[in-house]
Amino acid sequence: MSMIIECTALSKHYGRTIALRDINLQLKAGAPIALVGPNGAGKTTLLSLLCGYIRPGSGDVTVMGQRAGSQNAIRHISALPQDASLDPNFSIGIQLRHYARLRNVSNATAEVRRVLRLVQLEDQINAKATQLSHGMRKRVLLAQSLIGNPTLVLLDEPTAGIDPPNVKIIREMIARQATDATFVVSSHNLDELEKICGTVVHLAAGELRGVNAIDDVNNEGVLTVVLSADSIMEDHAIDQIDGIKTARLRTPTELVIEYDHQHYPDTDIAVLSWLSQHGLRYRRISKGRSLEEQVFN
Amino acid sequence: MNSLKNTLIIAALELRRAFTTRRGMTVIIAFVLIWGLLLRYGVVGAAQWLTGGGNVIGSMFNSSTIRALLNWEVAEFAVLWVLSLYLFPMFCLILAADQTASDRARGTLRLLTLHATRGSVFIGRFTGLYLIQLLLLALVVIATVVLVLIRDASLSTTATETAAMVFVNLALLIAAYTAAMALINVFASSARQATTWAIILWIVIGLIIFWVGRYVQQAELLRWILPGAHIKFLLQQNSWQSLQIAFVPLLQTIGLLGTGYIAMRMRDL
Repeated sequence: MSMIIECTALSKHYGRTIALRDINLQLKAGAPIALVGPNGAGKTTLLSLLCGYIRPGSGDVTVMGQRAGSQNAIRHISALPQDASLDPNFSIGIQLRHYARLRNVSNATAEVRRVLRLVQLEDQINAKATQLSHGMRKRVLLAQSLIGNPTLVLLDEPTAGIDPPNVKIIREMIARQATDATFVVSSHNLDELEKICGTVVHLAAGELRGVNAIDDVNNEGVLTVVLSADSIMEDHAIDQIDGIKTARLRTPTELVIEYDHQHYPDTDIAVLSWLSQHGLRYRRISKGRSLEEQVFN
Repeated sequence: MNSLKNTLIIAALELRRAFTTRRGMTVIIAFVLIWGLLLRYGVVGAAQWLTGGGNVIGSMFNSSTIRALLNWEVAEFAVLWVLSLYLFPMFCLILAADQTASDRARGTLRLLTLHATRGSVFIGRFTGLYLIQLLLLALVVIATVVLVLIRDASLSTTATETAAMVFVNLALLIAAYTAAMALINVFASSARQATTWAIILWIVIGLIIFWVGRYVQQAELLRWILPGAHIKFLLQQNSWQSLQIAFVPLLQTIGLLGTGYIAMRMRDL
């Protein structure tokens, strides 16, 4: 599988502030990639470098083997930049057609209808951006990022500040389109990322803390149980089940259980029955650690 | 090839912005109204006066300029010439004020540069706004020809030839001003800021050159880097001989566009 993103000794400073420090990163095309980290971690800076909006202080960054920001790179990538807005003077149809023509799409009008259909906004083609809600504007920008079937789509906080129905539409759209393009999604919403992404790139304080597959081997022998809010239990109460090594309440309602998956492969069933016997209700049980647990613990 | 095509696509959208959006049409209507008044009461009135051999303009300009104006075969164009050489650059500071500035502040430039190179965006916007001004200039020049013909239909040939000369010279003049605004736009974050910076820069650079020129005579030559430096020369002209200094606005345009192009490619978005 080809490398879609390569960063070599990549650093970026803003005055005396270090935004990114010595990042070495290779990412392959495939399932969506989550870019996570706290505020100020360098997520937006990394995406801006990949888009060619800013230049590296030192090091190299390539997209599909082309220098980021070059004409050859632009051909392959698209993005939903954070805090970018459409021109309020033109309808979204005119602007998206404009972008499609710039991308040399043969039938720009049909392409605009296609991408707007993907985000369920085809009926808004003649509206101006100022006439749409925040969530709808995000979806239009997402549609913009899909014009011309780019190979790599970079999404910076696509669900920030928008309501659950719009989040759902965006998430489903990314999941559907992930077969045609590689998505890199930066977000603080780890639950959303966990549902759609296969790889996690973790940044903190401008440094790369790790690149992990969500379903990697470290998740074997781990169960995460999310309890109902009214179900209260103690950490060690569940230790009595055979095969369980440790059980830890990460939050009052999230229990992380490590068990011997080789000798006790049915521990998940045993846990469910133990919860039932003790009158504890649960909302979700999943194999492996939550993304939040993997990234921040 | 693709860059050239994208440059033209971007320029075409600027024309569409000027002539189909409410904001663009407001500016065009204001321009047309102002020039309508200037032509009706300024050009026609002063032309009647000039054809009568008056010298009121003499109180405003030096005598060689007056002699040059009185030598014009079509008086309306003599007045238009003086007005345009000063007013079109001023209108340019407004009409070409927003090439990339507000798009940068809004983040629209980030979207645009995902689909086209920065170079295409920079040159495309310049081209679009320059074409808009050329259309408006053509409108003013044609309106002046009509006014001449209303006064004296026998001047049709002379008026047409003079109109072409005026159009070409003014087109060169505003190219340099539009290029200067394109360069300033790379650093400005709004149209108003671009216009303000342009005014301040013109005055400050002009003053610096003047003061340095008092001590180092060769520094006076630096004034040729400023768009409009050849206006004094043009005021003395009334024929195609004015083009003997056409290289000045041409070189200014190329220099300013080249600098802006490099700055656009280097600057963070």
